[in-house]
Amino acid sequence: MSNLNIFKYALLALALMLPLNCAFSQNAKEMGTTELKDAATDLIEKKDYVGARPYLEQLIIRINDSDDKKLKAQLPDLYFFMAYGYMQESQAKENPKLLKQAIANFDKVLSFPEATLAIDSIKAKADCYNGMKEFVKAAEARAVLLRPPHVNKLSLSEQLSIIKQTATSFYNARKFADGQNWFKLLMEKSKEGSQDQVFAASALIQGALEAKKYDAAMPYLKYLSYDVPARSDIGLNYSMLIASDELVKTGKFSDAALFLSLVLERDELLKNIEGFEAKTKRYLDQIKKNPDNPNIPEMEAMLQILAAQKAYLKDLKPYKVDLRARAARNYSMTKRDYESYWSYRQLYRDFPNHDAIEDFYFAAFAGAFKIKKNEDLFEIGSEYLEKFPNGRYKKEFEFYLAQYYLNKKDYDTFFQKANEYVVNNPDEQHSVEMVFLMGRTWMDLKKYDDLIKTFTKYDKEFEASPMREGCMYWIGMAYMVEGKYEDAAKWFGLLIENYPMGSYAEDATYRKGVAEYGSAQFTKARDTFEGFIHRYGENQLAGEVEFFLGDIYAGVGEVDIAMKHYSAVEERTKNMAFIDNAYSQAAKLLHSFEMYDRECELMDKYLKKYPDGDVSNISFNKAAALEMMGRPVEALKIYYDTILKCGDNPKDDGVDKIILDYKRMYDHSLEMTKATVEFLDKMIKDSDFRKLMVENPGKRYQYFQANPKIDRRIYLKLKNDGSFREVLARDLKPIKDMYEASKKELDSFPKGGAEAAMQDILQKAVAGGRQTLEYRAKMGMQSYGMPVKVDKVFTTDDLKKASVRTLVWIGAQNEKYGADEARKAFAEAASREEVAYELDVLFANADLESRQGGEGIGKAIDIYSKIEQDYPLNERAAEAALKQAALYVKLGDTKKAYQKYERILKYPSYRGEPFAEALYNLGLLSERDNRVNDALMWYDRCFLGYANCFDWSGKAVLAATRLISKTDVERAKKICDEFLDNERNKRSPEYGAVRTFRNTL
Amino acid sequence: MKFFKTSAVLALALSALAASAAPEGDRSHVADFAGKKIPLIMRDSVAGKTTNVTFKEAKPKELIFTDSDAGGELTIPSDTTSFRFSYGKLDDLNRSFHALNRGDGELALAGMRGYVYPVLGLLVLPESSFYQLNETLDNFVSLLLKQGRIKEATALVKAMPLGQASVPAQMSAMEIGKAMVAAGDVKGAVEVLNRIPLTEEYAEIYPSVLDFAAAIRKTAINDDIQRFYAQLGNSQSNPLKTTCTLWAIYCEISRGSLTSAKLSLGTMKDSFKPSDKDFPLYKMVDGLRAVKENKYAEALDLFAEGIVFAPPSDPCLPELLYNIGKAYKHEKNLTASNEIFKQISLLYPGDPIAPAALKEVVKVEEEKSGAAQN
Repeated sequence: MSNLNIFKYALLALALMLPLNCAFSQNAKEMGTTELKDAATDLIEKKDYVGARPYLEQLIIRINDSDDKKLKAQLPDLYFFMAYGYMQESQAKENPKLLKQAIANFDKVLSFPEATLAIDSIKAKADCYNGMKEFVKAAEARAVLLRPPHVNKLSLSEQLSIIKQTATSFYNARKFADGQNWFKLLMEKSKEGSQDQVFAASALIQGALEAKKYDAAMPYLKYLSYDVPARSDIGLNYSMLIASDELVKTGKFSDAALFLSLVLERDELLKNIEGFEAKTKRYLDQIKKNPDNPNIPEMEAMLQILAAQKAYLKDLKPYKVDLRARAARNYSMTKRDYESYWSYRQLYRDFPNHDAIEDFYFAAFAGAFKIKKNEDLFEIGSEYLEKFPNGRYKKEFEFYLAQYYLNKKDYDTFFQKANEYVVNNPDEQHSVEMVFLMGRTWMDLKKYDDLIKTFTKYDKEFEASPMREGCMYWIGMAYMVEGKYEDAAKWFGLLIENYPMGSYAEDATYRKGVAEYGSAQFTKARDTFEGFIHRYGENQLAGEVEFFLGDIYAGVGEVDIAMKHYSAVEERTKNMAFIDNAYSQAAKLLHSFEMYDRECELMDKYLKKYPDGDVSNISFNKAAALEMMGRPVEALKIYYDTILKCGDNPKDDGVDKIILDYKRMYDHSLEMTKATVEFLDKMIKDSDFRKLMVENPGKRYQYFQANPKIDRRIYLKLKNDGSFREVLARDLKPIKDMYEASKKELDSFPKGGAEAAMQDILQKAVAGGRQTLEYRAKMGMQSYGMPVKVDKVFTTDDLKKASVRTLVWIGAQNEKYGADEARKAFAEAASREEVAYELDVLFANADLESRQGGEGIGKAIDIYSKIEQDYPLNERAAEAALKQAALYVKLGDTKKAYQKYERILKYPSYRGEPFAEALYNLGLLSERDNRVNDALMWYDRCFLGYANCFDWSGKAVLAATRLISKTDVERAKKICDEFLDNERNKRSPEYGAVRTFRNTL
Repeated sequence: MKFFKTSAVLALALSALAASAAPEGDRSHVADFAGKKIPLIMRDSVAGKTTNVTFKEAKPKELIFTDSDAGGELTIPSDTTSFRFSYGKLDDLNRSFHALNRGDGELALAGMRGYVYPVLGLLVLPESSFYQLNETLDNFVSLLLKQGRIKEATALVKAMPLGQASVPAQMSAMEIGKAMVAAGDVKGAVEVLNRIPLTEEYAEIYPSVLDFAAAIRKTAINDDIQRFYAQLGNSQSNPLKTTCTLWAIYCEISRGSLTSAKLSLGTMKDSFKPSDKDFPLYKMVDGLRAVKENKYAEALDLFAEGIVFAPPSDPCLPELLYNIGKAYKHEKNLTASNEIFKQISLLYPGDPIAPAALKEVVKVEEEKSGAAQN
């Protein structure tokens, strides 16, 4: 049987389809063994395996019956050719049963462990299964080759070839799930970035996508970055395209974009395939120089595949537009606005005749708008309107083009276009948006009149238009900003009435409430705000609304209801500024109603809940309450502890407030406590006095009037509490208890006064390197009149560490080293934008400039003017006005000074000392101008109208009498005598000067 | 090649091999094979003659062999295509492949060494003249890198005659170079890069060279790599001249030399059409310039244009995506930036930029809805 081995590999060429004529049709059973062998060999040599079969069958029977081991060793080969015969026959007849027969015979070959044709049998068996389209079985058959003992006979490349063959058969049959393990194996065994690896990745991806397991495909996507033929497989690209569409439907735009970004367009695929084809041809030509090169068959096969793919692609309709449109859409969905813009732009440029051209224009236009490519926007918009004058998107383009002008800040053109659009399209949704833009722009430009006029007109002319709601809202807002609260409230009310479910309704309700509050329509405001809470309780403004309600109820003395609303603020908002304000307002309310216990409790509640909150201001409030409760020692301790705790934060103005108030509280409380102790002591010791205080309300009243420093609560107790008075008649214990408590309070007063406390704080600050606290302490000490040693200029670093109020003090210190050093401190303070001590800073700054003279005076005047403008209702506004006037005098501009003083007299809020000062100065100015009658008139008004303003009344009397005495001595004397006779005028600093002058008359 | 042996003989041979190749640390093996000869078969396709030879030495344009049978020397030109070479004995090589099949990489390497180191000088032959060597070298290098033997690979590439070596040998050298970068030996990798011949003859490996250079660039932009690009950018015969010029400008900008980079970019303005291969790269470089000038809107626009016109396999895409992702992040468009960074990590997980991209992903909290305020 050795001859059979010669034809071993010739059998592999199954394409050889030979006629099945049996050259030797003699009955095999009757033939001798040698005859059989010769006959079989002859036919096999002629590749007639079907014809050889009867002889082979007979040979097999005879060998099986024999015991000859040598003969039996030939059986594998005989079975092999039997199998091939069936394969050959199946080729001609296409009968799966024949293939089964072939398989059965190959199995028989394999039943011989040492069969030399084992590997070939396995391969052929797998081919049979492939022919029967049983790919899994084919794969299983081939898998045997990758296990011992067969794998040891195979080279790496042969193994790879088997894996590849199997993988390819699954791939070609599109059985991705079944072939998964083979694909993974191929991927593992292939070189990084090779065609095989990418092919395997492609199969795994397609399998995962087919099963809609998109995440499973992700790990293999990285292989698609290799530029190999498998990357350009149309099946792969198509499956990724479909997957992308499916993912878009489920809203997974990011994943959709990922797959879509990997899809190659037909022309690109074609170009790639042609490139690979050329490259492969070149490579093949090169390696064919060595006919033994084992890569030749693979390369030739590759060329065939590429040619087939090329042919297929050439017939395929291009889908470039669809692909790009999808990509552009996905970019937009994932907020990659720039890529979206460029994608759409590319589309309308490249496909001007496409059905969706208008859509492309619009998408590019909207994209350009979104990314603010204004010039491109204009270009695209103009181009579209020119090409499609009645296009589908005409209105859209007009709308966006109007905004183009807005973005360019060409407001005139914007408003013109916007108005045109709105008037021509009142019912369009874009008109609603246009109204919003117009309103917002007018507000930004502060052109409230234009806004009100235009929108009022729209409101009248377009009653049924959806944009009316916006018109009403903006009209209301314009009135609000102008301070015309009633009008604002009216318009917001109209909006709510007409559009209760509109998009502006919620906000308008809030605004209406604020407008009503602003115009002092507190009942209406209350109703509106309560309605807001009821309807829009989840709104982030609800906290602020509760605050307003708290203020409204506080304003009418409804303490409990007000407190309820103030408490609700922290339930409805997380905004700490509002929460802090609510607590402060509540404290103020309780304080004003002398509910000091509750005030203390409330402050404690805050401190416990918000240990890192506005501790200083809350502590200030608590201390104020304790002071009123006759517990000043505790109050002072809170002050002291708060200063130490919070004093390092330069932004905490509450600390400065405490420092500046410390001395007042100390001195006042000490006096009060002493007076109270003295009174109580007298009450205990002097029974007549006690009886008087208990039984005589009139005397009691007079006594307490004359001694205002005694704790007022004792007076109220005596006055209002009958049972207390009754007990006192027979028992001193209550009064003794009071005495003990007050005495204890007095004894436990910190020694040394506020000065000692501040000195102590200073020492602690210096010892601890706490500069911010140190500066504060020094500022406080100076405010107490203590000498403070500062022998350095405060540098920029120092300024950064100081609080705003401290900077005012630092400015004064730095002035010793030059005005510029002081200015730095004030500039630093101004840059903080903290309101609490801004006035102090401004005054200090103005005073500094004023002291510089020259240009400084002009600067000072400007600053005083700014104070007046920015703080018209502040009690110090008058001071600024007066200082301004004084500077005009200094400048010699008596006209302006005169005008300023006269202006001061027109502000009712300046009534009192400022008026007196203004009147006196007007007198002086008139006198200087030799307008004697005017001067006398001003002096008269001063000392007659403001006799209680002792600082100025005395001056006015002196000046007037000096003037009058020149012509009418008697009258001058009379005036002096009237002034001097009034005991109260002894408080005037000029009392002595008036008497002296009188004596000269 | 067919490597059939009976099981018994095979087992014996393998155990012998195992006894002689105990596991060692990573080191150079060049010296171990200095002077060692292995039998080769030289076939003269013109004369139709086959001779058993050993390789003696390589001279600038010649290779000298010793005739194993007749003695004497044989000299052939280095660029010959008339002579074909194959290994004379394949026993150890076969065993090493079997070892590889069994997953014993060290044993496989031990076997392959004897077929690589003694004949490194023959890498100057055209690939088709000794394809066994190129194939073996390819497998050897792959296995070396897989086993993490960077020191040995580094020594190997130093010993390879890269100046005239075959294309597959250049490719193997560049794979080693990339591994050196990954191992932190950027300087060594640059030395390899500078040895790769960049003549017209090797035009087909230019994309791989740029890929290698990219690996270095993505790890560290320094003088060397910038100079490399600049040099290539100035080479008139380089078909990728413009690409190299752009990368040189990119390096300049990254290193802070904005003025000079702007001048260069200025000369290139309007030179690129969207269909040009280098268009995306140009846009990326210009976009980077805009970033350095804090013009993020302009940068986004430039990067986006580059992305839209870039084919999916464009080598500058990972960096282009990374740069646009950073720009979106700077502009607080975290939806876009997160999507892009995740895309990079999925599509280019092996790229040095991928870990940096993943680090840039931030958690996006949902926004609360509220009533219209304005």
